[in-house]
Amino acid sequence: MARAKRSDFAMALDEFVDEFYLDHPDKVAQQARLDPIPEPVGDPLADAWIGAAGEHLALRWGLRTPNWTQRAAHFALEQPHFLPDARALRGLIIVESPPAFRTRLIFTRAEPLARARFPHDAPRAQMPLEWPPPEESAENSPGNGPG
Amino acid sequence: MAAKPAYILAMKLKALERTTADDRDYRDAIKLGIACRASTADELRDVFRMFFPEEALPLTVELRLRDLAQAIRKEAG
Repeated sequence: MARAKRSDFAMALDEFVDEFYLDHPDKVAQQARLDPIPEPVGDPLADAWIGAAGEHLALRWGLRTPNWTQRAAHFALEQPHFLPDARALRGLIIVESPPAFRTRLIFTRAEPLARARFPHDAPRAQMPLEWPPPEESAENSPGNGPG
Repeated sequence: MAAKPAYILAMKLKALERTTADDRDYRDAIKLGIACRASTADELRDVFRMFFPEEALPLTVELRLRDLAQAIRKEAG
């Protein structure tokens, strides 16, 4: 059913990611969730998302990237896809989109698979949105120590 | 008792910080904006402040408010 409708596909992907996070910090269980080879959906965007999610989760959580994520079907998107598709955010997401997504022409936030079940003990990737950085953090940065 | 649409809209505005493959929070926010008759960026901010007076909307959400307000007005006709 999730293959027929994009919103159902998105829900199914979210559920998969939730289950993946519930296995944290059991790397064996998480790898076992990533390894089964999914059948391509036939929609270039959905297939690009599936490949990106598989590769990103592996890279993000120190697992082995499954070979299936490198199949041509997961790189078939021909036009860039921006998510969120907001002109005001475009520059930001072009910069912060993780490699597994940008190589498939998907441009999104730095932590695109963050969910409520994202492990609380893991820091979330963030891009600094303030420049120059606040004075306090600038003083504490490694490059500004006595030297 | 069902939650008021304005409260759900405020929560949805907060949720726009996260990403979903179908951007469903944004689509939900359009419907809720119509239901709450909030169709400008300022009115959306007011709804958020009504329930989260001590919080500021994340910058990435602020950057979407104008588009969201336009989408609400367009869909409301």
